[in-house]
Amino acid sequence: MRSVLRRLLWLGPTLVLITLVTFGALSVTLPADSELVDLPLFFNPDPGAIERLAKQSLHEIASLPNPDPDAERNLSQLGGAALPFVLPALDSLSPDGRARAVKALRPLGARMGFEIDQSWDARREVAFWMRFWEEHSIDYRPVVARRAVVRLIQRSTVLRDAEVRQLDTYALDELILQMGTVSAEADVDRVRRLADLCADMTGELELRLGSEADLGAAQRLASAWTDWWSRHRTRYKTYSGTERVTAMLRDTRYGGWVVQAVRRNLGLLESGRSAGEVLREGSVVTLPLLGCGVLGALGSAIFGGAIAPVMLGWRWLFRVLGLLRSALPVAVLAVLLPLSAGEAVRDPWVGGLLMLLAGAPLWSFHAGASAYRESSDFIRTLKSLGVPRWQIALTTLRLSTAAIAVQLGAQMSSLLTLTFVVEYALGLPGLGTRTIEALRHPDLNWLMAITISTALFVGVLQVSSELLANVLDSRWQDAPSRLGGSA
Amino acid sequence: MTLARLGHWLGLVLLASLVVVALLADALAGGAAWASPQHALPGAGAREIAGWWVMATRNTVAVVVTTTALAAVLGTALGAASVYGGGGAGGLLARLVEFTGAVPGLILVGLLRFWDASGGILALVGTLALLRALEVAQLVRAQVLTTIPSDFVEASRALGASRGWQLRVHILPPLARPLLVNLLLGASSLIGLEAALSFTGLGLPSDTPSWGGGLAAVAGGGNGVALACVVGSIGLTSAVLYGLSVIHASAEAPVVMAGHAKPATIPAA
Repeated sequence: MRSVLRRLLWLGPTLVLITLVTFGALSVTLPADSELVDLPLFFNPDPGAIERLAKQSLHEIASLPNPDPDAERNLSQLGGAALPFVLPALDSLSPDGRARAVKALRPLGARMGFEIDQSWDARREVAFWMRFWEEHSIDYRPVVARRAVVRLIQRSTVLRDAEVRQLDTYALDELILQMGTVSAEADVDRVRRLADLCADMTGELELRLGSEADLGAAQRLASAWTDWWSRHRTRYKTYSGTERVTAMLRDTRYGGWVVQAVRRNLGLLESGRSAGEVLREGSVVTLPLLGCGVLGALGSAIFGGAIAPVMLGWRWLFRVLGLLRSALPVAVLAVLLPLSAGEAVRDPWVGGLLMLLAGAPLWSFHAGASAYRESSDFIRTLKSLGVPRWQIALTTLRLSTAAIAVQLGAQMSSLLTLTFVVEYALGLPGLGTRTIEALRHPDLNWLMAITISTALFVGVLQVSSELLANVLDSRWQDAPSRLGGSA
Repeated sequence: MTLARLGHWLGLVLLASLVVVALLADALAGGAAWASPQHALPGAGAREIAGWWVMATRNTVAVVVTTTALAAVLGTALGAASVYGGGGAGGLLARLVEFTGAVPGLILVGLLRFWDASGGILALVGTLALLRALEVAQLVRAQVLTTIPSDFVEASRALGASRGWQLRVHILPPLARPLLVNLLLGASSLIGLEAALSFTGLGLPSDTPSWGGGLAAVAGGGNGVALACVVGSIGLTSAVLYGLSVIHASAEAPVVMAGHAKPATIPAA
């Protein structure tokens, strides 16, 4: 029991390891999501990159006579969140550099609601931004941003709207947080107003809510903004303390996937549906097929193990049946059936029958076990005592089934593979067909979902099979402790 | 000569023939000059089909033999180490076995293909070898755990035999036959697995002749000879391997008794 518990406890770390390896393998080989490509894979040593990005853009703009347009665009995109690092640094720049920096801030100024004079006067604009920072630097604090957004939610006025717009991307964290819960019609208007602000600040113009949108649309939009923020947060924030440690793991491509998987039921597929939903649908086809495979394995094993010692003269029949079965591998049968019987065989019942046959070869392990048992002292003793064969068969059945139970856990991986192949060959709408397609035309979210699900399923079955083996043959439990001797 | 012995020899002759064909494939198929490309199999004539079959046999036999050999070595080492390795190495190996066993072969081979520069050959062999090694390791572990509590092992331990001596004299000999049976049976199922994976497009590259690839090529019908050739090759080889495993499993298992041990020569622990 202790070893079973230990294996159960190891299941969690094993699953995490499987997700890490699978995600790593897929991320290295598949083209990355364009929005995530800048993030590290598993560990972000410098989360909350706003300070670095802002200073880098400022340096690129100020140091060159003809600044890189990308640097100017970056500074504009970073927006209000960059101001606490850009404006205090203006003093340290050369007059020309300062002029180039405030010129790059013009689109941001327009977005923040300032009236931009079309005529360009560097000294005037530098003075404006210096004065702005003297007066408003105190506003660029999380508590002020929270208060401004909450006030806007409570009652939307032009003044309150302007107050939030003036903070620009610095208020994004609070805006998206406040957008989070959408449960009643009254929340739709709140989502619309907040989404409009976010869209203006980030340029994500498609993430707005139409005037006729209903509750469902508002929920989807709020969720979309939360997803957007989980991918881009690290560009707009600075972290400290434990939040920074958390962000080192969370603000990564793997962290982004984990957040998605938790929020979106194992992530969204290319079709827009959640992977968990498609998994549930496919399981309705796949699990019965797999069950047939297990039934075929256990059924044939128990049948063979119990009958063989009683009907020694009929053993040849079982061997011939086994030989016939092995001559027709399931993949071959799955191909031949539609060719010979037409489209009518593309039915779950036919798949179930094929899987019954697929599981049957496990009987061979049982046959080997029973042959061994028959030659053991235990059986010889029973025979010498005149115990009837059927009683010997029942006695040995329990012991030899322990070997099958262990083998079943190990064979589950192969049975799942055969289930997928049968589904694919017969065109059944199960997990296998979807998985094979996802392996041919990679779909990261589906591959991650199916890997986790099957690993969890197989892991639990392996532990169960060991538990069953220990129950059936208790001598296995303490065998490792009886090794004795010197190593 | 009994029927079983006759079957045993016939099976061995057939397997040997396949190995010979595999070894002389290039010469037999005229350097593959007259072998039909796999995708053209549905419209191929008898001579092209024969050429394709020779090349496909070579590739399939290579996959099965390589996989089985790797699995035998790796699986035996893993299985024995999971019992004898104690909490450290044994635990680590047990986790490795769990880790690899928890991911279905089809997904594993599909994932490895993304990395495989050979177009799927290494992914297929690696995955099948890993999965077979897991099965072998489980068998070895079960067999070792079953043998350890036996009276003759207890007796040798009481006489001061070391673990290595017990392993060499008492544990490994009774393991040989189940292992052979498992490997033969595994080779039989590998033929089917290769066919299944190649059929789904996740096995050997589509332009590499193999029985599974041939099955995928003729799955739509259109060439009865090619279909019979593919199905016959897969079925007959699987059946022969299975038959051999049954013959070996049915043979009287060696009764391992304490008499095998020679107490006078047992080295001190």
